[in-house]
Amino acid sequence: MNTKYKQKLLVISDKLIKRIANYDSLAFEELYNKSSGAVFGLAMSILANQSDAEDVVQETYISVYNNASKYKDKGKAMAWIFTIARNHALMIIRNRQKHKHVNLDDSFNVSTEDHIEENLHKEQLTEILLRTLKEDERQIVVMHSMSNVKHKDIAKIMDMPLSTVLSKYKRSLAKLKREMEVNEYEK
Amino acid sequence: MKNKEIEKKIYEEFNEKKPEIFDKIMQHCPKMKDPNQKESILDKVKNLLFNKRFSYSFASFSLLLVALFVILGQGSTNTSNVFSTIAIDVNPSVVLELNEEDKIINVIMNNNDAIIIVGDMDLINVDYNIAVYALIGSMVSKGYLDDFKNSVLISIKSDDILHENELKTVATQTVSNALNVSSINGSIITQELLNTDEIKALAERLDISESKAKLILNITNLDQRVTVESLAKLSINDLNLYLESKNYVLEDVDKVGHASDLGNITSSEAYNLALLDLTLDVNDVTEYEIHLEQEDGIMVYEIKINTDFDEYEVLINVKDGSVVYDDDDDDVEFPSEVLSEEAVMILILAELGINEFDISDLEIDKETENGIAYYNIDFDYQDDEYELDVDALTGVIITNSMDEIDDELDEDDESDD
Repeated sequence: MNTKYKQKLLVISDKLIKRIANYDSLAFEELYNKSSGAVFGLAMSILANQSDAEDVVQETYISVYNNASKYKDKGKAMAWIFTIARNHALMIIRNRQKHKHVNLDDSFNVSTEDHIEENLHKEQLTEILLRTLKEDERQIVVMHSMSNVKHKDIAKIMDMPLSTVLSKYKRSLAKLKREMEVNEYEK
Repeated sequence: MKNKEIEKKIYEEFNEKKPEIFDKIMQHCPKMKDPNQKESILDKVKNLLFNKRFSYSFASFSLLLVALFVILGQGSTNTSNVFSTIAIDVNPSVVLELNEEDKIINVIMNNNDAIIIVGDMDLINVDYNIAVYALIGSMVSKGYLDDFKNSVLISIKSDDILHENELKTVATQTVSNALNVSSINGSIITQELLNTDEIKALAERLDISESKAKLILNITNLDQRVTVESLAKLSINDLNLYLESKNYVLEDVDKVGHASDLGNITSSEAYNLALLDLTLDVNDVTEYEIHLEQEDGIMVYEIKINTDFDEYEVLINVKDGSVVYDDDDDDVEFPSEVLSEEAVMILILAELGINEFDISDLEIDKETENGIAYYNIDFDYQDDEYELDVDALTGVIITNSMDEIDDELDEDDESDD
């Protein structure tokens, strides 16, 4: 209740999850509006495919609806949601193994024409992210960028040592920075 | 480009591209409902009757109510000897006096809400636990207790101290059961009921129950920065929130559950309102702190904001988000004849059992409030950040809190070029 905060982009309170457990549709919509960008970002970072990432978003919020009453991780709602989203994304990957690997160009359903037109201007940061970083690096950067989830919680979600998460995070941002300079990325 | 800027751009791009499929998701969530659309009484009864969890309890409760709803007027007096007393405070304030067999011999209704709650129930000669269950059920059905106001103060005294402890345990469990039947996660504060002249006089002066007077006197004896007048204005639920916020350790007071804050705006909403009031841009904020406080009987978020150029403090009403203005004269000078910072640190480290060489990032601020001088002390120890308010005259820890250290900013700063 009395907490010292530093600037964060996204905070999901336990109170909001409790309201969802009581089937409060306004709370559910608030959660979706606040967090679906983060869920989508994480799904994209794992699947690199917009259509599959949208499926993960849908399944994640249906899981939140079904399991909000079981939520127990006090103060770590966003980490809980990330875990759900990641499980859904990994399930899609497992199903995919029967098929050939999806081309990264499927990202955002960019058509050839669109892609050419896009390249005439600038590459979007999320595309640089998908192209430049490895999957686990993308997950770490996206979870940290999109929410207030701490590195130590990301380490738990990904079952990695904290030191590995921190070094991957730093290395990934350095890579992105270099790549953006090469691409003369501007806002 | 700094790491924070890259993260911000990632955040913005994924939020721009996120799918707008909320309506589609809602098709898979049939139980979701708009809380602003109130259930009809018929719906409530249907829900109650057809919900398996409630069926047994509801049947028992109905039988109990049938037995109790005999029209005999509002309470009565009894000349038998009072052996034990149970006071129930929500806002309705009801006192049950019991004989040696724990049967009710007198019902005292301290306010108009209590008269509404007791209604036509004749509780005389009823077992106390049945009466407590019925009264809590009546408070729920009449809207005094719900998910937004879930706190109950139970005050008990008995001629037999062992029996007093038993009454505390059973009454707490009974209240908890009665709330569970309505799916309310209640929070119950229990204390020993005392009727000293000081408590009686305070209750009369502030027009509150003796139970509430005893609780707030207990708080102000520990923390003299707050006044009985301001605490008296708080509801039982807000008092409960305040106790949790301050982490007070009060003698003879026990608590189960957590006070509901569902009726309050969130701290992040309050933070945004504070920025709006100060006309500050979120990107200019370097650090901020939010504390739940009370200001003259109004629950507020006290928000301290730092930018590179200035420091700000804003109070935001937790109920409606309005800005609350502090009329107190905070410019009282910190007295010189108090314990030194070094002396206070020695005292509190000894009390906490912490070695002075194991702490880091120590910050000590001198503060005054309501004429009381105190040190606000922050430090990191192992994985936790401690914050304590310590009386500058006595070295007594008034309030304390402990949070996990947020290491994010430091990591970012290290990574930034």
